[in-house]
Amino acid sequence: MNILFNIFLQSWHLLLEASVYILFGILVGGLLKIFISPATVARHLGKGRFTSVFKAALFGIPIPL
Amino acid sequence: MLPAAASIKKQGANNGATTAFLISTPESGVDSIAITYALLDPLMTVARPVAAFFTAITAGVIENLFHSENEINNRKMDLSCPVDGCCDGIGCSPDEHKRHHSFAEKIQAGLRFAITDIWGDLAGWFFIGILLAGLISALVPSQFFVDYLGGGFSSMLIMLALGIPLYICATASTPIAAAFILKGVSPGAALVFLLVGPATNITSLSVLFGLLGKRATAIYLLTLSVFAVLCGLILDQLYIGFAFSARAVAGQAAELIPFQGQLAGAVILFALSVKPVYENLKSFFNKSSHHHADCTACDSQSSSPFPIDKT
Repeated sequence: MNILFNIFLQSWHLLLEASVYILFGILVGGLLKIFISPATVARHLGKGRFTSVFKAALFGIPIPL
Repeated sequence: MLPAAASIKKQGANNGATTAFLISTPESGVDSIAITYALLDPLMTVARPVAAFFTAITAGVIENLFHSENEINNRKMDLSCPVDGCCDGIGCSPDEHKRHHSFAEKIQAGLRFAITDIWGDLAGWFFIGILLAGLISALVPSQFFVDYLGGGFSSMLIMLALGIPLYICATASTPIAAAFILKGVSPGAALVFLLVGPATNITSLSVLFGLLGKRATAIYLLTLSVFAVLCGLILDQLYIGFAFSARAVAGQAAELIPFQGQLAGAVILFALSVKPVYENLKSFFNKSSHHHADCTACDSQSSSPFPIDKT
């Protein structure tokens, strides 16, 4: 029982540490989705053998999935 | 994750761009960057996206080098309105559409997307990650990992072997990595886990195989592994070079936030999690009872209990 309590206590500490940052992260992720139009993304990823790869890698960094 | 890649391919991206996107998207995101800053340290916060970026570019460029010609893509793009789907983007130009929604409406739509879609997909995984991390913190002796995972090439290989079959998203893997580091795993080895865990699992590799083919899957896996090990080794050197102890500073950023703020954040997170976790559990139990009823040999998806791949 003591061990179980300890596990939950450790998890709870991590949750407290992460909570505000997580909320911030999903909020920014949500706004990115709305403010970046799919047309822009599609236009950038279609053309160019190497620039398209560069842009795809860059676009992928902030997108939360 | 994979349906998103399938959709960017449909929207006209070539194989290399799709491969790059398939690596950088799961390995890093604003949510995982934020939680890395909270639970680990600034160096790791920068190292994750940078490593993901270079891995993605390399795999994508190698993939496209094998293509003698740029395939011409005339596939239909999905240009429909991201706010509420009010128009399909074909009948109305982007300039015209700009005036359809006010700024406040967009903010509201962004919030709704953050809560229902992003956190909806993430919540179940996040709590699994937090509980696993709690398990490691509470049960593993404090010097346990030092001998095998304290740094060096073999540490990286062990983490690679652990990370490739395991599927855990970038955000949920972060508390686990924090627990690892506190038990003596080197930051480089933790980075290998953070890079490879989210990017690969058995199911996703088989879907990738169908989407991009054998060669692209091999390039994907190989580039990912080589870069993860390389980045892990470099990162360990950086920590040594800066005389920076990952164990000592892990989680310091969280102390910037007063306890009341942390508590309020946790309460909000719980409130937002009730619905998605309930639905995850419901579909998980429905699926598993369905499995027992009329399917004997399809355990290929059992490694992912939650429908994280739906977006």
